[in-house]
Amino acid sequence: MKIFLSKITRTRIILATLFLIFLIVNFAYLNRVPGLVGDEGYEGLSVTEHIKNLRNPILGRESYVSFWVDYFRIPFVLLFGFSTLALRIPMIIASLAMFWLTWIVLKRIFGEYFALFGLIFFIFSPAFILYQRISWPINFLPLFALLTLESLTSKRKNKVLTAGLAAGFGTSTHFVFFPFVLSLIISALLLKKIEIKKIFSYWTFIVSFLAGFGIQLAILITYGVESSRMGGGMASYASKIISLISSIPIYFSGTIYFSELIGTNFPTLTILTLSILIFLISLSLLLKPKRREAALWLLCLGIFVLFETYIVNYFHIRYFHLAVLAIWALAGIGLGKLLVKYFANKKVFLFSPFFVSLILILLTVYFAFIPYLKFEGSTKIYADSGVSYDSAGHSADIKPLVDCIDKLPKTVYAAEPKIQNRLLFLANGNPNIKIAEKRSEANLFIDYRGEGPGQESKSRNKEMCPELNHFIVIPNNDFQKN
Amino acid sequence: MNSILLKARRNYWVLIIFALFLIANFSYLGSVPGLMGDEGSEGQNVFEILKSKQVAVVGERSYIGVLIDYVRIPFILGLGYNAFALRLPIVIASIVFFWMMLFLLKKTFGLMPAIFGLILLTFSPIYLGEQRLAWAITLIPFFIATSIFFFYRESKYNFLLAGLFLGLGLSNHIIFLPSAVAVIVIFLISLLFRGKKIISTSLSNFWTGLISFWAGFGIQFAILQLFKEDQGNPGKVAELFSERFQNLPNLLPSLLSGSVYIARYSGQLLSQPNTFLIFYTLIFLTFLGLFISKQKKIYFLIIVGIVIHLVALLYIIDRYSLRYFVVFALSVWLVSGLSLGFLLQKISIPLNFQKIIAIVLALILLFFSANKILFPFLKTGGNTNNFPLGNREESAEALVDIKPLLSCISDKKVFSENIHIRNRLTFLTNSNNKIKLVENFKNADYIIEYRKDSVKNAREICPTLINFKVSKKK
Repeated sequence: MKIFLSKITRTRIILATLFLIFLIVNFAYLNRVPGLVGDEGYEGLSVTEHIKNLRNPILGRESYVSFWVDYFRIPFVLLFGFSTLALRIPMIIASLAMFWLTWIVLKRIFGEYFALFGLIFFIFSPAFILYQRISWPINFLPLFALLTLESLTSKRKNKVLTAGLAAGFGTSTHFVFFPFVLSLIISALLLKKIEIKKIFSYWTFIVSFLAGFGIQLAILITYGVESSRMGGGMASYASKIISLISSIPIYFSGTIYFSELIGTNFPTLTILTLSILIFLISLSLLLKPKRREAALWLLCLGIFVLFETYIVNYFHIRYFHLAVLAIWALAGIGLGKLLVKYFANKKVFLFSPFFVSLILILLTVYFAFIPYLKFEGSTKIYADSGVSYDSAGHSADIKPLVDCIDKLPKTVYAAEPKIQNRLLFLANGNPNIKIAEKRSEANLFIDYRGEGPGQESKSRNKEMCPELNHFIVIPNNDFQKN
Repeated sequence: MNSILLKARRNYWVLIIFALFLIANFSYLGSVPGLMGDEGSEGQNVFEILKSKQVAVVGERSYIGVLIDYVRIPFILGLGYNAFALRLPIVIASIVFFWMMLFLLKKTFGLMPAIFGLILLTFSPIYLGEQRLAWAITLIPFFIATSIFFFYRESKYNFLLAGLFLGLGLSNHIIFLPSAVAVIVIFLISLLFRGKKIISTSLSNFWTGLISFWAGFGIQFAILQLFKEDQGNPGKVAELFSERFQNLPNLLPSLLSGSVYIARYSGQLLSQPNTFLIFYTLIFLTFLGLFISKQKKIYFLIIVGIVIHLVALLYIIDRYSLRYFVVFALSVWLVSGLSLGFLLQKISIPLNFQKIIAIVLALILLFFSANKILFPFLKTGGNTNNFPLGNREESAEALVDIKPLLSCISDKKVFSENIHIRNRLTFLTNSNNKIKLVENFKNADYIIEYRKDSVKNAREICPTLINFKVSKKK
């Protein structure tokens, strides 16, 4: 009964429909869910500095982050202003490319039908829907991973050269991509995809990798890496592995993506989702065909996670985002195998891609979109890994705050960088927002509600915008007196 | 093995020329000229890399690549901190250059014109005097030859390798830029004369060359962007382009004849009749080649390439400096040599006689350079005279022999205001603990300077030094 989907036209219709749904999902509340995130504001400031020629043209936000992403954002910022939407359009463009690249790569590795479900799990996972829209350079890494894989799996004459270039650009975009490159090489060597005798024929990979990574390599060597962020080290590696193991459930289940937005952990949902994923991944490994390919995928993923754990000095989902997407894709492959084995003759088989997509989308809408839109995010504390906690304030919707201070002809200041950076970026497009560089120069002081120095404001009487859910705006003098 | 021996026996005369080339390049390699200040400065970068035990990406200047420093490391470790260790990798590159040029020229113009071109190129006083100096800039001819070699080699990776060497060349020294522009423009023009199939293959593979070019140059591009302090003001440099262009005719005879390059060693320019004799001979031969060459299009393209190189060079340099013009001067000698080869073929000189002429020509050029450069230098250890160079004066002091100075200052606390003297001593100190160079005037007992006149003061401790003055501090 493969006839349902083996015909090219049917596949095309399914793909086109999925792409349409994909577009709707990715454009839905693009600038609102989440609101401008703290680090996005910081990224935006980097773009602003490039536009105003205040920054060395080849320096990105950090030594391990490339400048090219800033340049990619510039035309959109010039077109749409200093806004969340302008920063996120480049991400959507990358996402559109990723849809087709994922399809091509999975089809080449696992075959057409399994690839379809791999694609669905990849692009409609909470990880993709909620995270790929956030304008961080690190979110381009899945794109470069796919470009590298697309090159390697193609039959083009210069496939090694283009793979090296994609890998180089990826590593240049954010250095945490390097473990992916290593994991690819090691997996290929372990499975003898690269013959040792012919290893020198891969020199073109090194050349093009250097072409993509050269500038950033020079910057990295010149300025080094802020040691609190990255650097690795064997001394702490054992403890990092323990942290990794305790973080895996919330990371790989994808529930961390909900927590980041609404500040709540979902233990039951985590266990349930993780169990389903493990079951589906096991199927991908056990059911014929393409078991070897599934094993290689998992091996590569495992090596990647181990290397990634080595180079990062603290746990955050963004470092493991690529791994989460890959694991969901593999689960999708497992589901595809299950459907082929047991439901191939059923009519439901034809509609299963849409049915699965719908479930995944609803999962994200129910646990993230609706609560976020209702409560404008959150400032609650949640477990952001197995060993640490964070406030969801960094993704709380900042629009109500901006609307409030827009009406107040006062200079504002926030000691919390993730508020200050967002305001600084948005102020470029809004002359009514006046941001002080120092607290002493400000008329108004801003903080998250319910935590931090603003707690002294016992009643909302002193607040300039008491209606705000997650922020407080108080006279700076009041704060100093307290 | 037998075929190689047979080939070698048949071409023994080429091996003789090569042997002469080796003799010329290896003779007095560590002592003629004396260690230059800039060589010392570049060499000190090797010391810094070894000392820091960290990967370095910054060369001696922002516009000089670090790759050459890494190439120098095994030589320094094996031979110590001295001029010979710094110059050996340059001479090795010179040997590769010799054979690569022979291959390219032979493939394009046939054996005899190729040999004559190569002789005038590699036995010219310019080549013998300049191409042994351990500067990154000395490698420019090597990078030109390798990139052209790969551009025209029919292989799967030709563009990739050509692009890589162009990138590495530019990374090695920014002054390679005019050469790179000339090589690319000429290559693109030359495509017009080739078949449609080659044109389409070349253009469809050209992008691989761009990638590898960036692989070679990317890191240096970043360094150029990050450290701009030593790059002057490019806008002002460009503004003075026409002024430099106007000064060129005055400089051209002494530049192309090699007179100024000889003066770097001896402090003495060639006599005016000799300068003009060589200059006009070169110009005559260059133009003659346009009419008698069998490969007129290619010969003409080379001339176009030389002109493009010169114009681009004049545009980017801030002043006349002899090292910048080495490639230009050598290219003119090369085309003159090719033209001489065409001429000998044209007038039907028997092949064996042409071979003898070639060897004799090499010997004459060798003797000329020995007479004008080597012997005077060995006699006096160089010179500190000034000589005119277009819009300014150049001094021969950069190349003077430093060994007599070292014997004089052994175990003495010395200092010099002159950066070039200090750079040499700093570099040599790494292997010679008898050199006590102090960092400032206050801590020194003796001061070193160049001897610019014959006046000797009472505080001098080594009055026999010809080119240096070492005086007790007041």
